[in-house]
Amino acid sequence: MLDDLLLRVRALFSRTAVDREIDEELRFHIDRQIDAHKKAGLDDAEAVRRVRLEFGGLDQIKEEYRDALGVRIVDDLWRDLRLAVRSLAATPAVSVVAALSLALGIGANTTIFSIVNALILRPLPGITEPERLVTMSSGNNNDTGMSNSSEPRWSYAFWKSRTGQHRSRVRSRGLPPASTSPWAAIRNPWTART
Amino acid sequence: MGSERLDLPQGTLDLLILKALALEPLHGWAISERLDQISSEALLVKQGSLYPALHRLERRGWIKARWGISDNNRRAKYYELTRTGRTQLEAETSAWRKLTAAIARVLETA
Repeated sequence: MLDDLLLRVRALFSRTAVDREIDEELRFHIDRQIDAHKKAGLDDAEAVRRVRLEFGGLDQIKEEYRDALGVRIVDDLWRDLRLAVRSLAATPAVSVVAALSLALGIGANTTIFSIVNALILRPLPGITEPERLVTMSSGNNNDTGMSNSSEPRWSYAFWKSRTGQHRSRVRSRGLPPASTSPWAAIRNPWTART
Repeated sequence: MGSERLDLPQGTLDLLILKALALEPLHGWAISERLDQISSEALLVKQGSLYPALHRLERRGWIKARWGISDNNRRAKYYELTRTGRTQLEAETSAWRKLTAAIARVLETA
């Protein structure tokens, strides 16, 4: 495990040294093989040709070798990164526009999200039992015969006084206490009222 | 040379390399020579593919590489079996024997 790590670290940071070693190692093999063929009676050109066939593509082998080192991903990433920087530098105007539009987009998104986050996603400050909140809207309700015609009455104070009343009335009619069912306390009374 | 040579099944090159190194440390070229000799040149090992394989084995800690001087006075990278490599060789050899025996049985009875 440690060996593996050391090998990889070395392959990453002393790249040229490792590359040189790979070159040297492969070169050694190729030379030896050429010698062997020459000893077997082949002429120089034929020996070289034969070795090339036996050995396979040198560049491909080197690539595979580096693959086996396990640093291919980092290598490729590094190469891509440099290419990216180079091409950005080659067209500065486009790069600046791209960066600006990104900045604007991210800025706008962040702003909108902060607002949404503060207003909608996070519980409002001071509300300890959000499950007891209800949404109310005024409109015609045939059951009660009430309508929203008298605008000023539909105020918070009005609703508050109503719910206060009805809660006690609900209790008196034997429904569960308001604390177990906040809906019952607030909604039921309107039907119970008549 | 012209006769038919067998391609190595996937994964067997590692085993052959371990076996070739069992006697003494060798450099890459000598490993390929030894494999040729022992197999009477029946196995086709693309020489280049030896090196990535060697490196794989090194990373697994089964062999160790070290630079030395070859018999023709050049710097060469020698590979030797580590202790875990030796255990691995034994394990893989017996696994290979079991596998080939099982396959042979199937082929003969069928």
